[in-house]
Amino acid sequence: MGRCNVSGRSHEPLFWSLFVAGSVLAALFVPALILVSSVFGAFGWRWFADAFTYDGIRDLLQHAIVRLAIGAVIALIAVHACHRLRHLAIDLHAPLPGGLIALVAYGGAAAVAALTAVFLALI
Amino acid sequence: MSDTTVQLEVFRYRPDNDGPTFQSYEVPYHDDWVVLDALNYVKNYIDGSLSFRWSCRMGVCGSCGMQVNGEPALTCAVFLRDHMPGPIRVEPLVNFPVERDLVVDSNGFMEKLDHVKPYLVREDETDDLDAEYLQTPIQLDRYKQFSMCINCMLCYAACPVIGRVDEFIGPAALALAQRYNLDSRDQGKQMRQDVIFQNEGIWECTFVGECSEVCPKHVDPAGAIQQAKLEGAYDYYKRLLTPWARRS
Amino acid sequence: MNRPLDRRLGWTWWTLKGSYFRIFLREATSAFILAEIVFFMLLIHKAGQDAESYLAYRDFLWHPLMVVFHLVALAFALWHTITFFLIAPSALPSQVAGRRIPAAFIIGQQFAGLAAVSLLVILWVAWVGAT
Ligand code: SF4
Ligand code: FES
Repeated sequence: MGRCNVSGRSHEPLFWSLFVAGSVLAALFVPALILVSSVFGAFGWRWFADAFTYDGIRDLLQHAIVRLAIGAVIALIAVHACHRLRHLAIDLHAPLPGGLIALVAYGGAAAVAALTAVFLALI
Repeated sequence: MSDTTVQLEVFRYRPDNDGPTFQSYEVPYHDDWVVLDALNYVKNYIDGSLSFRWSCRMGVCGSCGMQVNGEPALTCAVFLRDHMPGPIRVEPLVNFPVERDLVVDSNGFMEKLDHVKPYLVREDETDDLDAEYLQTPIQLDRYKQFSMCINCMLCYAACPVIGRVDEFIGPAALALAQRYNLDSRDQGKQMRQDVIFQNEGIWECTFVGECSEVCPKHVDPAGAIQQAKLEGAYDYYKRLLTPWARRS
Repeated sequence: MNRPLDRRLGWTWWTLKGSYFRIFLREATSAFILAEIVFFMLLIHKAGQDAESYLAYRDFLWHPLMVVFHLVALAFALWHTITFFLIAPSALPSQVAGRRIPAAFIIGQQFAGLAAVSLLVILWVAWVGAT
């Protein structure tokens, strides 16, 4: 153990605060999201299978407010997951420069957020 | 003397010999013996060359921390009976440089404590020795838990981030910073935050939480660090949105 | 002469004991959550295209092997939810307006929130499907 560096204030709070916001949303929404979009329908449960026909999903995503909400939730959850993956890589001593790990992680999150916004706009 | 015995596997290391080894000692077993009692038995009756630290024998001084069967613990608080039938493996706290046998170098830790200015800071320091700074029970309750630390360093041995980043200020020192920052009588928060809001301060922490698990005094340093992160985030945005505000 | 011995925890720290491994699993939930988020993003993408390619992608998502993956991902997602809810009380300031909030209360509220949100999402989708 050595001395404490003086590296100045960190920009981590920016990412961390988005991470926490995404953590809350992921904790609340992801289980239900997986169940309705990928499990119940696959089990052949009528209403859920019907909700994910072509017309069904376009119905689901019809309202601008719904699309806005889904876009925001997905963006924050993406930041949550990528931030956590970044720190997992660091905690596993990944032999890569920290800046590169951050670039890949947050770049990935930004890509998911941006693509989701575009896809939602195109429906 | 009881007839049952238990096997101790003790980590031995002398800086001028070869690498570390484990040495086995057969010590008497007593229901009410703690690991420290067994070590003292070894020291007094079997092998006087064994080195380890201890003082109070009652979980107050914080000097007897070691790895007992892989877990950081106060050896004066771990009963042999909870690790029977043995063998019981005793090692120095991990993450710290080992000086000799079970004795680790705590200088880095002491420096870290220093960095967070662990004392009440007052701008209006007076020479009046009778000056009183009153505090309500509610104000005391805000930081009391974080003030219970005995500097035993178990939390540092439990923390994988300490193993990766030498400069990480670490659980106990950050909890101590929080202890003073939450004290209604203190005015040194700004100074401490300049230290703890760096990467090597709270932001290296990924809330593994093992520090709070091993803490014998239930200080919950992990909680203290996360609370400091909330304040750090608040402070960050405040600085971002009010760049003109005066900074001391 | 060997000077003070280095005994720092290395990159394998998460294999050393169960409590570390549970934290590793908690961090690993992010990979599954990210995967599910990307699957869902692509579903939205396909919903913006023609019916045929949408249904092809949906049937891929609903393929039995994929469902197995989704169930594993669900378990990881719940692990994130549970760990996050359980550590929240210690991460929040201990007092609000001078009063201590019992940890059990905070945890209970969060699980109530999870139940409410899940129910809302499930009922909404079922309702759209039924009408
Ligand atoms: S916070 Fe707990 S484990 Fe860490 S040094 Fe203080 S008393 Fe020991
Ligand atoms: S000897 Fe003092 S805490 Fe164990």
